[in-house]
Amino acid sequence: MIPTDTASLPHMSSPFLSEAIASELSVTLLEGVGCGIIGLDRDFGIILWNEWIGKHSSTQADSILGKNIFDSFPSIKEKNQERYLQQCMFERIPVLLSPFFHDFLIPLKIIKGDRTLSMKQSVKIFPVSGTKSDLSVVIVIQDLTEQIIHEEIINRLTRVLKGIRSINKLITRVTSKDELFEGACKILIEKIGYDFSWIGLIEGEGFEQKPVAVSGIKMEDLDELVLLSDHSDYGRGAAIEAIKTGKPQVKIIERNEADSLSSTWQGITGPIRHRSSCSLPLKKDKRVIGTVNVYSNEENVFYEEELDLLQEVAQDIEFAIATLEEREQRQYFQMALAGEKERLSVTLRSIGDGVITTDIDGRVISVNTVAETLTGWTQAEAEGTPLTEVFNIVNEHTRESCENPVEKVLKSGKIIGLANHTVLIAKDGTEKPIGDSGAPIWGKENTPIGVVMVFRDMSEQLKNKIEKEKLLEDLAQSQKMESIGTLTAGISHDFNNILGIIVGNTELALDEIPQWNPAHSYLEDIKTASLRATMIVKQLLSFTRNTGNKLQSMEICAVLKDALKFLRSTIPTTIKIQLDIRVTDETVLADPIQINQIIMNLCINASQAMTQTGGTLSVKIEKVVLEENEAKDSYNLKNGHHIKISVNDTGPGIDPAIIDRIFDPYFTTKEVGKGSGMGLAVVQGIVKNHNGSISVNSSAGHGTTFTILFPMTDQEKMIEKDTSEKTLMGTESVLLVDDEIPIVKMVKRMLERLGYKVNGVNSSQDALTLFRENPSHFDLVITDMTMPHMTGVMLSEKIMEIRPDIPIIICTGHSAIVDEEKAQKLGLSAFVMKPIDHLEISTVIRKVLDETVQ
Amino acid sequence: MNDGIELDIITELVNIGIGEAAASLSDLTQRRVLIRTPEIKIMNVADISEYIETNMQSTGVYIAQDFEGPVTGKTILCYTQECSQSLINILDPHAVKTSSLTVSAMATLQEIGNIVMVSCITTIGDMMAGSLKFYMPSASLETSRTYFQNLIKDMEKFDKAIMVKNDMAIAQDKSDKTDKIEGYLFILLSFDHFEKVVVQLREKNLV
Repeated sequence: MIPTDTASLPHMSSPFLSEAIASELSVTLLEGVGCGIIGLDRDFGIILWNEWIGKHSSTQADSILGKNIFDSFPSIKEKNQERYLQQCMFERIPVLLSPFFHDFLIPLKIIKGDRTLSMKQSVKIFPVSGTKSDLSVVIVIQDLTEQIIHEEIINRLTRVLKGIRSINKLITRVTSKDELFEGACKILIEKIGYDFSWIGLIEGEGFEQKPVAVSGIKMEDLDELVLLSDHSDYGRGAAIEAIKTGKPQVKIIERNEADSLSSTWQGITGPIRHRSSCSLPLKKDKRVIGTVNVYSNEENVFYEEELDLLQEVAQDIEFAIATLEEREQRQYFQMALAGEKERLSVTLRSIGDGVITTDIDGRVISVNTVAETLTGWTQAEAEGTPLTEVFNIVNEHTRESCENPVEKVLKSGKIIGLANHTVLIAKDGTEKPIGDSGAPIWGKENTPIGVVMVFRDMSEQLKNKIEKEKLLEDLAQSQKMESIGTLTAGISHDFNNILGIIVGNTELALDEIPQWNPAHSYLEDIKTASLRATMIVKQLLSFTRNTGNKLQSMEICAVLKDALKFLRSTIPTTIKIQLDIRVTDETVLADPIQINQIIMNLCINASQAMTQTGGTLSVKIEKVVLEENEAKDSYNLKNGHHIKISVNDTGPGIDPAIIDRIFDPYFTTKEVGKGSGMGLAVVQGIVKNHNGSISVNSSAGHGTTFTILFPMTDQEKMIEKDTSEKTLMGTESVLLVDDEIPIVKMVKRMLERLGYKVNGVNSSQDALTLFRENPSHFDLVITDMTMPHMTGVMLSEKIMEIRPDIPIIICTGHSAIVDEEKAQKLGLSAFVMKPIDHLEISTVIRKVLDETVQ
Repeated sequence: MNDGIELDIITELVNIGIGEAAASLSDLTQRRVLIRTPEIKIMNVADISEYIETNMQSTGVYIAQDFEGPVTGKTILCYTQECSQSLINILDPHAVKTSSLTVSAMATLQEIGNIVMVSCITTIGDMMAGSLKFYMPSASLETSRTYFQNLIKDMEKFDKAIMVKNDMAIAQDKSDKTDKIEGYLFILLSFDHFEKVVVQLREKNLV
């Protein structure tokens, strides 16, 4: 430390130094020291001017010594710095002047490269005692320009480094390129300290680029700007050069150029008059995609080190662009994958079959909705669980666990199906028959990575299959019955004709032969047997459902009671009869005769089952209501109110082996001659004809119960007519036609006995000829239906063409050909079923003739 | 002598000096400068090192200046490096923040320190007969322990110290917002000179 008021420096003296040494030292220090030394006298005259200051001021000592410092350097006063010299001079206080506050005291220039700069000075002003000389103040000037420039460079580079750090931070958090570009531009301005920055991206294949982010001016000013690669203002900048060359471009604008070059930019940037700019190419896959551009209002700021750091900034931005694009692509793929996954999930969930996927170890990966329902395992529960736990399958018959489908599939490497009779046991223990298949899931390298199981609940299909089989069975049965019916109907027709002849002639013979004559009783037996045969034919016709009888609304209770009252006399006393009738005036659509036949057939069958052992025959009649499902599934009926008739015996029951055949026609277990095998077939036919249902329930040793259901009707019941008719006579002339000569003869006799005049012919053509010859002769025509050449209907039509008012009665043994309704439609007067009963025919003839007269 | 009264008058003198310093700094920086002295105490020189180690643990900027005349002594002004850096940044927001202060920053601090110390000592000197002679201040950046160890020999000459804790508030550029810079000013005196100052104050009827 140099004492401030010791001996004056040029003539330094000290108690420890001789004057000579001090003098030499002073000179040495003055000229050798690396700083400027100026000495002032009390009048601020310069009396000391060392070589350093002379060199830097280009003013030699001899030309300045003796001059006033303020006159020599007017800037001292201009900068109000004379006070420091005065303070030191008069108050004897040392003064320090730092370059930060003062820049310099003595204006000196230094050359730095190709630039001339103003020297930054650290100035110390010492008061000197001046006891041995005029020296009063010593000024020591230290040049800090170099340090300050370095500090500024360091300062700038530090800011760039901070900017890089900020951009790196930015890169980690940005989610879009826009955010990246805007953030980077902002950092270049706010953190690094440039005046204006923008980032542009190339549009299309050329060099033209459009700014995408800017800082330092408003973005709106650049919105419409496209930088061209031509010779316009937009096409001559560093940015275009950077794109063309792929290298950083620095542009320094001399002061006199500032307004002429890049006037476009100057126009846009307004008050920012940039003096230097730097454009850094942004590359992707070695291809330039845009530029980062920075502008400074200082000259030549883009030094080598700064340029290197700015290139790092550009590289960071390139990295961020690549990262963002990769992220965007990844997000796109992730979204696409998620969408695909969702679609697959929705598809899987929408599939009507159960689907389970597993990994290669057989652990469940996914379970769709149907599989969740069938297995009772939710996706969350099933995930990771071995398939065999979730998909627990056993053989329906053996109850043994089925082979692990995963192992089976992986072993075969193919799609496999499950064995038949596989049952899936759900989590809650419920079982369902299933059908399924399993297939390997192939990975990228064509190796299996898991298994997919597809299965479905087969309960419905099995049920449908059973129903279908039953329907086919019913159809076969129905076709069989129809064939039998057709056959029966044909036979019945012939039988009726034959029986008509037998009965008619027998009756005629009985009239002729007196009772005392033994032949009379023989004829009676013939008649009885014939009538029984007639009944059998009638039963056969009932079986074929073609009896011609019409169903009418009737009180079922009265009909059943009527039938049951004859039971007791028919059934052996060893059999107890229990009646349980719980209906009163309920009505059904029925034929009373056929209902009677049903009861009789079932009860007689029941009693015969108990003939050997005795027992109880129970008949129960009640009203029931069938719900829709029960009605359809159990009885194939419509839902609603029904009359239920149950006939139960306590006999040995029906052998299960034959129970399916008991309704077959001619099927019997009775000895030959004791049963026709038609009983239950007739009952079933009648029941079906009544739109009812019959079922049997029997087990060995526990008797048999037949259950019949008839739908109830709301129709009013028919009033039963008085059937006690008498034989009615007449005298009219009748034309009788039948191709069977015996019938013609027999009926002719019958009618003649009733008083009619009868012309009988056995050909429809003869009948027509006869009628045409004398139409008015006849009062009535009675014709058979089925005749060769011309049927009864055709004959009737031709006769009515001749004489429309002639009444015609048509007879038939087969109601399928013609019935009462059809006869009326044809304009015929009446319809009579064969065999012709003399009482019935007499009544019909009389009625027709009387109506005609009226 | 009543120590309390003695301290009061020294405090008054220091505050005058500090006020002068603030005015000079304000003139220099063209900003509003306030300097408060929340604490002034008289302590033994031997205790300074421990005191400063306790209160200013980090590296600091130490500016020292000797003075001679009717009263001979030494002033030491110290700021922590953080405070020094803050001071520089207030004055120059773009100044680089490095672990060590730059040459130009040290020159700036040295100028500021010179103003503060000269102002304070001049106020005291004005009370004494005869003018004071000041040495050019020196500045260094180091830890308190190192600094005071290097200063042991020099400090042996002194016995008493007036410790002035000072908070400097400098307004930010073009703003009323101020940043506070905390520092310590030690005025080291021998017993004799300390007594001399007190006597002089008494004679001036200030005590």
